[in-house]
Amino acid sequence: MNESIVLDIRNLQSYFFTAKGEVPAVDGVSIQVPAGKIIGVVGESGCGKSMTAMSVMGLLRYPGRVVGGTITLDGRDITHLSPRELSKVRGNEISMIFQEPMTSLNPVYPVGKQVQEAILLHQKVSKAEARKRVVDIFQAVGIPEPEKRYYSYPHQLSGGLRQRVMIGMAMVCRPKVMIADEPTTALDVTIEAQILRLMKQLCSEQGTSIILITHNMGVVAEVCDYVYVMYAGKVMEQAETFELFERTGHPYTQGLLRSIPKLDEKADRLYTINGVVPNLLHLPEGCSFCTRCSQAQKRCFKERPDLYKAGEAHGVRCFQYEGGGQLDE
Amino acid sequence: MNSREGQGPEMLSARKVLLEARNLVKEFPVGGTRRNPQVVHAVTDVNLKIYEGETLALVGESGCGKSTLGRVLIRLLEPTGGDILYEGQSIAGMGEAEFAGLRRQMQIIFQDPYASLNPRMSVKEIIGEPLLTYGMKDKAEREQRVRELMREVGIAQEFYNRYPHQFSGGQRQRIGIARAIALNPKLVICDEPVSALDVSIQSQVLNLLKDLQEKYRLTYLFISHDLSVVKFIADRVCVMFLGKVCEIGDTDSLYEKPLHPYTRFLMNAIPKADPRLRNQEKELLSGEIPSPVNPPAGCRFHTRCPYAKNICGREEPVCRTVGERQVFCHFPLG
Repeated sequence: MNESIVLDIRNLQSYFFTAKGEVPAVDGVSIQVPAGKIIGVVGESGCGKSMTAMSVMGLLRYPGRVVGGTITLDGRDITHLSPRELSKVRGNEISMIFQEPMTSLNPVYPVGKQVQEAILLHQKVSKAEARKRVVDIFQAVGIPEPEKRYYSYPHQLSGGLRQRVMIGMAMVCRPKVMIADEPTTALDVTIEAQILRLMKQLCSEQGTSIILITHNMGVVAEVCDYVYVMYAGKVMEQAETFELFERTGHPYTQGLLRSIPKLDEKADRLYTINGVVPNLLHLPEGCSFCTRCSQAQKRCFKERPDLYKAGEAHGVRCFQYEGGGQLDE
Repeated sequence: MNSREGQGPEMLSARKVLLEARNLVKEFPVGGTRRNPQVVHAVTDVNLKIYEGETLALVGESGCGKSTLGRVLIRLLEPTGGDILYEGQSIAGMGEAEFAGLRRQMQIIFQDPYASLNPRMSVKEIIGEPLLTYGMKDKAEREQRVRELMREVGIAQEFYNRYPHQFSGGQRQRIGIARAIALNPKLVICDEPVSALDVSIQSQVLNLLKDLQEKYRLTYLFISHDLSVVKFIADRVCVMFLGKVCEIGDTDSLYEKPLHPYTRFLMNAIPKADPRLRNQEKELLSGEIPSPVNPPAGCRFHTRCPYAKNICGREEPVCRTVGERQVFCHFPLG
């Protein structure tokens, strides 16, 4: 991973300060995004994957706050920008797509206007020129009859089309990085496959890097170049996609992969990871996965493991790999 | 429910039909004018048999009518037309008083474990309610049964007095399952029971459903859009598109060799958890699902089907039987 890094997240810590105590939603996450690559961030609900994205976008709200670490976009530290400076970056150099295409568009404006607004905010072009670009981007994201759809309201579009509008809006300023938070979870499989193909194509055509946040290992296997597996606010394992699936290191990742029902085999019972995700307020003293881990040793309950090197660009947060030394990122 | 005891596995091999839908139709009015009323054709002309002890999966994309069909089958929604036979007895037009006795034999597990449990009722009340409704007035007896059910679905006994908000999604779904099996039903409609759950929890709940089925010889109608989950749990699969059945067949043979083009596209579209498969050139469906208010004439899939010929837009395909498989297509795949 020595290609030029566009987005460099180092040791990010985002905590929520609640009445019950500090919640370490994101606890020391480092993610490097090289130019033109699709980076997957997987994990179950509550593992901090969305909060990582929100922190990068500067969208964390009270009682949440970034308490440590740096976020560097194209050589510039954006961790502590003022709201004004941040709004110049957001939507322009870095953009985001949300899970719910229904609620992330404004219901009272035509979709074309909403995309046009994104252009007018960030670029010095005439309205007519902006409008032309909107129609072009609609065409590029595969919206049929883009001229006509420009004037459609969100409720007149299907879920798949709305998500295409969102992608269009996110791509129209040719951002360096696009963060897609579960972009296909609300969509049907046939539409999901279309959207994934579209994102992959845009990524390679425009050289935009994508951080794809998902809980679906299938989606990861299909489109991502490099994967981070998160659990309870920490990265448990990171590797190139093929490496991750073929030489799965962490017991958690192994468990996740084994508990998905497979299409090509008939099993009587599914593998299960015992227990539930721990409450972030009362994390175990040692490794945060120790209470559910089938391979846990005494030590796992006492000490916290670091990310150890398990192979080329492959890090695993588990003592089994301690011999490999720490992963230098 | 002693009547169910003594039914050995020989009953399964005889394939007794538990529930049958005949030309079932469900339409929802959506306005229009009095002269020209508009309806959503949610379920159109569905014929379906559910055999005792099996798991039949209903799969399809959102809006294809699978949930509506599930609900109509146990009369949570009244059918617009057609007939439903439960153990050979027509229940479609049956009076409420008469049906009440049968209703306890058919239960449902809902998709959303957050919305399907009353937040003001404790676990003992939620699981105990069906018992009370069907006449178990004695408190001690009820408590014993509720505790037994909790053990059965894996909820710790000390949670007896807790409320839904104190549980995680997976645990709530277990409570929903306990409620559904409280009356020893024969048929359980599982309406996307695991789609709101995380992967690691999903497998726990699927295993539980399988264990319960074995133990109580339950019959499941398993509604899902997730084909890999269906592959794991179902004996037979019914694929629906826009209110109509496309294909019904045994799970293994259907997955191995889909005969309806739609089934094949659905299989192709699932993201597989194996990066080695990613470079396979996949044929994807283009376009979107047509409106169920004005479904296309002829075969409802023809507007998206790359193999469609003229006849597909004109005539509705009739049911073809290939072995045990039923397929509704003019040109079933080779």
